Amino acid sequence: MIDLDQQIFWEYGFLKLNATILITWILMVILALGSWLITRKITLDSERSRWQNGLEIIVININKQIKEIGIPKPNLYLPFLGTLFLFIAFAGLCSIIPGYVPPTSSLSTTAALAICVFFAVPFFGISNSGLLAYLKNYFQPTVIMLPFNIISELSRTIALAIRLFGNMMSGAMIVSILLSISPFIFPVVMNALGLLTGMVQAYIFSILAAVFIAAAIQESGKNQHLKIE
Amino acid sequence: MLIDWFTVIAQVLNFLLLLWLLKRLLFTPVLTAIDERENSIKTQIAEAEQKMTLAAAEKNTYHQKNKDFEVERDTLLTEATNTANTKHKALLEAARIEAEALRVHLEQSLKNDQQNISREIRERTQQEVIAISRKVLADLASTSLEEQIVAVFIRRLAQIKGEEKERLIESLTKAAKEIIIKSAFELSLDQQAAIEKAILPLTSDPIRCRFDISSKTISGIELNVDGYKMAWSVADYLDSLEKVLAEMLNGHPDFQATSKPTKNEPTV
Repeated sequence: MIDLDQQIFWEYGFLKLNATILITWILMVILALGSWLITRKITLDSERSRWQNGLEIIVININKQIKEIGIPKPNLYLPFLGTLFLFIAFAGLCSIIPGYVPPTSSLSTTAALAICVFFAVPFFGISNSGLLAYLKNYFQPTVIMLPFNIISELSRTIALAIRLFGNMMSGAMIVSILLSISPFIFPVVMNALGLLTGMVQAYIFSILAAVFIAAAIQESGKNQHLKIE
Repeated sequence: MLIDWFTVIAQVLNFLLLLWLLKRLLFTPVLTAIDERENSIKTQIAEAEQKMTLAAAEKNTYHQKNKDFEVERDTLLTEATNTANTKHKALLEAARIEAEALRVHLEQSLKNDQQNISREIRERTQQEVIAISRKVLADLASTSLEEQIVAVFIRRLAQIKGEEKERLIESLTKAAKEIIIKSAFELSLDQQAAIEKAILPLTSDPIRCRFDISSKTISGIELNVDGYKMAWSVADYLDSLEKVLAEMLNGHPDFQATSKPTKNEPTV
């Protein structure tokens, strides 16, 4: 099994450029450039390009999913959750390219994404209803629950990271194991399965992040309402 | 497999960079475009609804106007029909009256024309009949006829009786010794003597007779004395005939009776 973090192309003291960062950059460039190419000729009327149509479908559906979870103003959370989903999904979809290893199969990447979610949840909760109202969540239902709430926050972050890492890494690992046993047919099937797994994991990661954010917003909002009453 | 914390920090930064890039290049433009399109569609729908409302209102207005117009049209049509019928009747009545007047006038004209023609025919016929009769009698006039005329005159003179005889005698008495005898032909001396002889018994005074010839007296002889006139002439018969013809042509009711020949009709 290839560890992307250990494939270092350039190193200067603490700084280093490994495969994980390089592949992530490539994916970022493709995503950003593709978005720019499509949206620079964006039209408001009914006649629009197929690319714009596709992009709008993706954005509208992500927005719809966020709304279905129970977040009242999905447009505020769309960039964060949409970027999470698109990055993980695109990283998983690219596994169809021979020799490509998704950066999400690196625990560092998944931990980074989980840390982002870990900080995003209180950020959105506080921006929605204020610092005090958010912090009160940790004392709910009683003060005794504070350590458990903190443990819950930490554990779910770790769970997010490990879940994504485990699934993505297992896919890549199974393919490499199967290649050594049966070099034909099976790796193709597993690759196709890997595509599905990548999409499912992107969906699960984004939905879980959305659920955490929604919970933070609703709980802090509930506290605020109680205070007003 | 360990976590490389540098990579974690780098990936966090990468993710934040990607978040910023996608927000700027993807989500904001697409959401703006979608929102603007939705707003545009909402505006269009609102405008369409407003137009539909206006159109519905206009439709109702036009329906109402149409109904009013139909009612007004029916009313006007009924009024026009009634007026036309009344006018038609009035015109027909006027035409009938005018036609009746014209017919009466025409009938009157025809009647007048008929009467004029009838009168003209009648007069012409009468004139022709009289003219023919006068010409025939003039042509037939002869000595023997004149003698017969004188004889008839003398006989009538002798046969005169009653009131007429008294009037004649009275006139002869008043006359200044001369009586005038007019005839259509020249009387011979014998005839003059015979006439004087016939008159003589009727007067006690001697009287002289003057014998004149008159062309008006057709085959006749006439005695004039002091306003009294006694005559026998074919012209008298012809005058009588003329009278009968006139009565006959005028449709006189006594036509049948008067058209019969009289007993005194002369035999020529």
